[in-house]
Amino acid sequence: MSKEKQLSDIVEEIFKLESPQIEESRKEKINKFIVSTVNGDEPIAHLAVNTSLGKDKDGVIAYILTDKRLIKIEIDSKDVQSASFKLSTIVSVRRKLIDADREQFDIYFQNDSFGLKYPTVDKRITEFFQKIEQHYLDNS
Amino acid sequence: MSKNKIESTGSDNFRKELQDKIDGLRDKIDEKLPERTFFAILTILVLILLSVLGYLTFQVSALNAKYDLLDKRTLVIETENNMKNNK
Repeated sequence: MSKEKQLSDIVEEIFKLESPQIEESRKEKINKFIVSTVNGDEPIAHLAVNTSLGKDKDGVIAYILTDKRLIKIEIDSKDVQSASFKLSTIVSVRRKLIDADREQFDIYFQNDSFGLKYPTVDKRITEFFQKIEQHYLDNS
Repeated sequence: MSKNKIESTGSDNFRKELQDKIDGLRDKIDEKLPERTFFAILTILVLILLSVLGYLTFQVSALNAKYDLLDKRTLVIETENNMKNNK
């Protein structure tokens, strides 16, 4: 599959999410943003989920694991923002149960960390973070 | 918070740090731009002036050379005439 197709699939996945749904009119802009953020890297895996982005602020988070970086893209009702981290700067990956039916995955980098708290039943999230963990273990 | 809610965790420092750097650079560019534009225009004007001066110097030298040649020819003709008259 070509890189362009992979990235447009990610965009399609983002726009299928429903709570909240991103306005269709922003699709082209977000597509361009993602293409420029990935910047020629080879996408390996991705995850797009509706999440809470802060107090009273919901939106979409998309993670893209490429051959060189882990990219986090946050989309709210107004803005699109990204943060990218070189895979070589990962210092640890932690997964813990925070409740009987919720867990938390965190990725720690040399100067930052991020992760998700999510219901254990959501296997997509676990599988995606396990890919990152596997990459970290393979290269450490 | 609902049990099914997905929450983002971690810090946003890295992005903020980067954003701050970008904003700082943008401010510097905004500050430097008028100054740099002025110097760029000044440099272009000086280069044009030097080119014009160079061209004029070349033309004047060429004219001087022509006049020198004419003077020498006039001198030769005058000398020849004097010699004829003396004979």
